[in-house]
Amino acid sequence: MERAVEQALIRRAAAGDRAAAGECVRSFQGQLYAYILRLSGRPEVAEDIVQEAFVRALTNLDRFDDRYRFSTWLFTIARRLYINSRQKLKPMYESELVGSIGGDGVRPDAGTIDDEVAGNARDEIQRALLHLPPDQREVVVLFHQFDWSIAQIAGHMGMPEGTVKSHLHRGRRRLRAVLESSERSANRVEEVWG
Amino acid sequence: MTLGNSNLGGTGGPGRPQAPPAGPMIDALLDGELSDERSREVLRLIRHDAQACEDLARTRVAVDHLRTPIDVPDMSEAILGKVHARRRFLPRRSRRLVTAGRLAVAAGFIGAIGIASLVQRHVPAVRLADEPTAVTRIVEAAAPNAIDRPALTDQTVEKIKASLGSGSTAPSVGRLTLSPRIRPGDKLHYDLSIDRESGVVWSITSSDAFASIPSTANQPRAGAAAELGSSIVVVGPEIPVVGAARAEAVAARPSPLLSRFRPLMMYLREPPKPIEGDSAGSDR
Repeated sequence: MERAVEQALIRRAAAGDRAAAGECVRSFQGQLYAYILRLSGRPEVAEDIVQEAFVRALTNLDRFDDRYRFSTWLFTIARRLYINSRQKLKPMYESELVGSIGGDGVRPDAGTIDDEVAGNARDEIQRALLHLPPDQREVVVLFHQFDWSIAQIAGHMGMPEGTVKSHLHRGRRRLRAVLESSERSANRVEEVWG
Repeated sequence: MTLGNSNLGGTGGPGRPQAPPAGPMIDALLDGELSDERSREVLRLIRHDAQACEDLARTRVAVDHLRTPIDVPDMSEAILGKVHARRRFLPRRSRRLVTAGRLAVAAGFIGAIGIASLVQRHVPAVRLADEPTAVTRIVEAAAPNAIDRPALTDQTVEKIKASLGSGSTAPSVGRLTLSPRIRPGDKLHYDLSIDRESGVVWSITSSDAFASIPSTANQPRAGAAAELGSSIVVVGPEIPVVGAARAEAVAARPSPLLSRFRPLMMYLREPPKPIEGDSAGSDR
């Protein structure tokens, strides 16, 4: 969304225009949901946090400084909510986690082979991401999925750019290592079972 | 990032400078920090390094997977419903009016407190007389109150007795042994102390300081009320301690109020110095 369009939308929403608020939600909910889902690996957590972040943002639009991007503000609110919720969440076993991600048990006959391949890859990358420490995971996601610059990430996470780069490089290497390891395991299984 | 020119792609034989490690080059490439020309140079340099090529390819595949679209549920209605429940979609102008109203109420409250404070300061509850008054006239005016005081005390004690119930008729519960320094005829002042847990006790506060000596007070009496007065004249080695309800407990355990007067009590109870030739002495 262009900056001018975004600002106009925010102004209308701030003036009490429900339709503009709805458009605002529909424009940003995808990014925000993907961001929190990548960090948490749990769709229900992502959904809760996205809703709460939007509610807080929309009820405080008069405090929004339009010199900044609305998405940045929204991501900041969501990040704080996620960090708070993470402290309250119980640890989750990996088997539960795998089951909760994309395992579409509701419609067993719905997937084509392509869908399945894509779903597996998505699950695999999500599993690999969850092997990364939270800071590395967040930096990798923001940089490679949302194309944020190092400076933007540093501002968002409140850390020096050098630290962000360090997290990015380590996170990327670890991601690659986890994926390689996963691939080797899959190959062994294939060899054994044909 | 500094890259060499001619000999960076090789493995670096003896006497040849070592090629820079591939990891940082790949990182710089993936970070998007290199110009197109530099990127091509890095790719050319790692072309013969199978491991570096594989690392780069795998990393690219991994980060490309991150861009795979995710199914997103539509949460807009749920969000708008919650927003509406918390804070209705009011125009900004209306919200400002609401905020201004709240501020006005708060300011009014603070202002009322300020006005009350000012009024109190300029119109105090105690007003001085317009003309000076002689002290003797004030004393004369206060004299009737002083005369009424014993009667008021009696009334108070009667009320306390009544509130203590039937136990209040209990007579003296013990006697306070006095030091022989206190001689019969000495004047002691005592105060009426009220212990909410234990009932009524009398405590001696000083001696020779108060002049009012009721003529009937020097006779020990059975009833608590009969002993009330502002002073007592000692007629023997003991004075009564009057109590009610839990009087034994009072005698066994000094009340907090009595504790305040402990130094004086200790003085009063101090045993006399043994008199030379008197082997028995005093046990008090």
